[in-house]
Amino acid sequence: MANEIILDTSILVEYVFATKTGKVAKEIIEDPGNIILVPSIVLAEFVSKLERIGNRNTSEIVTALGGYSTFMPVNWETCLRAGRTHAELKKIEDNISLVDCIIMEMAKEHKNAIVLTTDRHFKHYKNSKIL
Amino acid sequence: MGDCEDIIHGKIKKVGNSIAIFVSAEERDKYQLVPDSELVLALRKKKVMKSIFGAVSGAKYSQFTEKDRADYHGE
Repeated sequence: MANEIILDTSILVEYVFATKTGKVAKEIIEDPGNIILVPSIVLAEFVSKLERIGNRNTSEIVTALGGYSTFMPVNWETCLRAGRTHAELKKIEDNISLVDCIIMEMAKEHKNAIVLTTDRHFKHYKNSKIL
Repeated sequence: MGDCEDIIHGKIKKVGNSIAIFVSAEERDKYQLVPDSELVLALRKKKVMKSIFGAVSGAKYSQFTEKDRADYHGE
């Protein structure tokens, strides 16, 4: 059975810059046996980061990424749960982001899909793979 | 394909480069599809692998400041 892999913004940055961590991510992302999912909110973050440093081919990158991944919309039920999770985690992790919590909730909805990330905050999600 | 009862009724939308079917809660329960999500099924097109590995243009990883790096761990 194919693994469902959800990409976080941090791993997309490493991947698109072909860093050492990005090379490890490449093996997972480009494995034809894996189903790659990208939350739309991650896409927005990713684009923002590329644009802020003056990247010139952002549209081409997003289009190409869409060729081998699925962009996932965020619905209100996910936001409801993510907001609650964020409020809970804030008690123990001051700088946990709401986006991270949305990703965690989306992953749970996808039968506990694996979240591929470099972000240590994902230690709060049992199926995260932190590179 | 089976008979008409096997057809999942829902709104079909293009999501990114994929086609998604959004169905009601009843349909979701009936077919035991992905729980707690409106997006229950994505019929992915055949993967078009034009890798974006190292695909940045006109930007360098070193341009990310410490704050940028911190941002993507807590934006």
